[in-house]
Amino acid sequence: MRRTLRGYDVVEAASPREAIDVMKGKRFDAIVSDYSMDADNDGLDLLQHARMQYPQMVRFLVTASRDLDVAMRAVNEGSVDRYFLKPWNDEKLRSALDILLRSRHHDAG
Amino acid sequence: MEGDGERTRLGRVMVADDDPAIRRVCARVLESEGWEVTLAEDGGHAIRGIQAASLPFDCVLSDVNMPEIDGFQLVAAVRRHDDDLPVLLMTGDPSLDGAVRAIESGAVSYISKPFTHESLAVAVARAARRHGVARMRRRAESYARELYGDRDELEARFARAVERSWMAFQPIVDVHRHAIFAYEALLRTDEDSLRRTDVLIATAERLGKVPELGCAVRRAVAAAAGQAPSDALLFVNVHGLELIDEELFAEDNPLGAFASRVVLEITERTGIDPAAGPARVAMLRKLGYRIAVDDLGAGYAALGALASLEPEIVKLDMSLIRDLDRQPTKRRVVAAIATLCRELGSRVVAEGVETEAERVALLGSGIELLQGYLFARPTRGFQPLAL
Repeated sequence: MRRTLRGYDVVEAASPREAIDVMKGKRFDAIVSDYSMDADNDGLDLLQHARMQYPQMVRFLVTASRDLDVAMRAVNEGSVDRYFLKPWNDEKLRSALDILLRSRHHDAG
Repeated sequence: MEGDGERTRLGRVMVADDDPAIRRVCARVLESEGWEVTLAEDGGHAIRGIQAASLPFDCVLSDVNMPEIDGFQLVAAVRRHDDDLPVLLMTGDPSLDGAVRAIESGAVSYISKPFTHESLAVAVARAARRHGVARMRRRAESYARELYGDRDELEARFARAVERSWMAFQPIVDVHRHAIFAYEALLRTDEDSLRRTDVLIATAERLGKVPELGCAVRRAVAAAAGQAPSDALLFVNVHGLELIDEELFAEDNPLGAFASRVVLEITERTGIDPAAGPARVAMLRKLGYRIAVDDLGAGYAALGALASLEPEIVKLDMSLIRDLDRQPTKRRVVAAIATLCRELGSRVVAEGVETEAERVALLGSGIELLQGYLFARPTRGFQPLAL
């Protein structure tokens, strides 16, 4: 993923808990989360948290799961801007990110 | 109709489904929950109803599979009209692919049929509530400024890009006849932030302005067509979404005057509606255009178009051409496709030809119409052949 996102300032987190902590200390334009991480929180929970706390943040889910229920949840909970199956297509992910970032870009800096 | 007009309504819901039984069920459920329901028998009626409404709708509930305009296209059309009017999609045939498309289209819900009274009621209430929250949020001054600023800025850049757009032309060479068979018109812009054509097109998609971009392309090609050598065809790319744009078929389409010389390139990359596509293509043929299927060999997609659109011309994607001379398997695939196309009555163009060895290998496979840097790069105006 770091390679896919080269050119961006990327911060990594190993768990939803860590991601939540990292987001408290720094402003992020986008979050890319895996679906399966730990037993208590999955990627959709994390993105839901991000949606509530930072509504402007672009939210991507990446998952190896072909489970229809996960995809249905992703739509119906409204927390996901784009859904990528592993292995993801670098070009597609980047261009989706570029476009969504640009359309949400605001004059913060 | 029951005379309960006194009751306060929760809000208004547009329901689009081509199945009258489903429409009735949705109306019964939602009316009993207190919604004012408007029914539409297809996507077109729904869009017109939403645009003409004197009181705005709070959400839209739509079937995915409908003739002409499907649920995904309905979401796109709603987005052009209203930035955050929520659309819920329902389907009898839920799939992973459908769910992913629902997310990409911006639908807020993907409901599988049959549904329970409860689940439909909850989903609609939640969508409408979120819509209300979004509206309220937007009314908060700073937020509104931010949001509109964003979109305004993107729209302004897009408008500049269209205004500063121009067409480059790249020859397609008939190697056997030593002549230029056609020129492909390629969109370019001098607006720095949108110089990459794929980004420009994605921006048009995002802003719901694909038809506008298509219109600019047609105007520019028509303006240049007079200078093109009279025996050369003109290849013009058409976005999947343009196929449902009435202006493409309108009498005042500037390209219409040159229709007999124009080959419209259609790619499944930008999504051809499998139900409406062939009918639209038949209409274009009636207007005098010829049809090319673009990007054959990029992914699986175009094989479907080959069967359903019966194109006059097939363009092989450059991924099939690259290093053809060094890869015997690729050569066999290309030769087999070329044979198939000939049998179907289509001529074959190879794109992205860069080396002499590729040219020789293509000729060996019976492909004579070649395009690529080996012959010429895209340039302003129509460069003659330098062999």
